[in-house]
Amino acid sequence: MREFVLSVALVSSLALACAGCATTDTVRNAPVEEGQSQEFSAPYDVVKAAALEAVQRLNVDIQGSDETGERFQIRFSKPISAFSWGEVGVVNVVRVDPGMTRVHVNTSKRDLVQVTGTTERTFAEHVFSNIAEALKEIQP
Amino acid sequence: MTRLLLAVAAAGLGACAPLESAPPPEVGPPEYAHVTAVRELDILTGETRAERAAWAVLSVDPVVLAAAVLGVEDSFGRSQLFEYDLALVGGGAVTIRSRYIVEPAQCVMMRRLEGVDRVIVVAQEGSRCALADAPP
Repeated sequence: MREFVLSVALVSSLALACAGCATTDTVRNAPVEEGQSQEFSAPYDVVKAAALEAVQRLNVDIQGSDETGERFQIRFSKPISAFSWGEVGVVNVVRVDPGMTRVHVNTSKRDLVQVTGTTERTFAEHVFSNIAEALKEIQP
Repeated sequence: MTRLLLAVAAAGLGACAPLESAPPPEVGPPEYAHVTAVRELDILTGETRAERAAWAVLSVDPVVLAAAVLGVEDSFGRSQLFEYDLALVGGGAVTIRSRYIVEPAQCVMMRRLEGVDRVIVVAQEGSRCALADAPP
C-alpha cells in the first residue's frame, strides 16, 4: 500500500512538473502580436536582417527561423544554468507598411513557476536596442 | 517582509546568469550577389540532454531529474539554418550560412562581419544587382 501511494505521488508530481514547463512550441505557436513590441522606420527585409543580428549578439542558442505571409520568426532558447531552467522565446518581424516594420519579442520561462531567470522585458530591451544599432550599420 | 526577502534573493540569483549582448562587430562594405542554391542544414548546437541531467542531479530531486531528462524536448540541442551559394555581381562565388530566408535567383546584399563567423544578408530588388554590375 505504501509503495502504491509513493508511486502515485511520484507520477503526480512528475505530471505537475511537466505541466509547468514551457517549450519552444509554447511561444512559437502563440499569436504573433503577443509579447513586447516596437516599431522601426525601416523596410521589412532590412529589419529581418537587423533582428537576426540582434539575437545572434545575445548569449542565447538560436534554434531556427522561418517565414510565413504574416511574419518572419526567429526561435531561441537561453540555456539552463545553476540558477535558472532557462527560457524560450521568439522574435516576430511583421510588415506594417513599406517603410515601417514592427518587432514582437515573446518569451517564457521553461519552468513556469520559477522566480529567477531573464524576464521578457529584459529580452525585449536587449533585442530592440541591438536592432536599432544593427539598422544604423545595415541600411545603405 | 518574507516576500521582500524572496524578491531580493530572486533578483540576486537572476543576476548570476544575466542576458548579455556582445559588442557590435565591424561591418564590411556591401557586396551584391544572386542566390544560386539553397540548402537546409540541421546542426547540433546548444545544450545537451546530458548537461540538463547534470544540473538536475545537483537539484537532488528525482522528479526534477526525470523531468529534465525525459520531459524536456531535445530540440534545445539542435539548430536549423540555411546554406546559400552566392554568385557575386563583382565576380566570384561564395558559400555562406545564415538564418535569413531568401529564394534562389534572388538579388541580395551581403555584409561581412569582422571577428565573427557570420554575415548579414538583406534581400534586394533585382535592379540593385543590375546597378552594382553596371560599369562605372
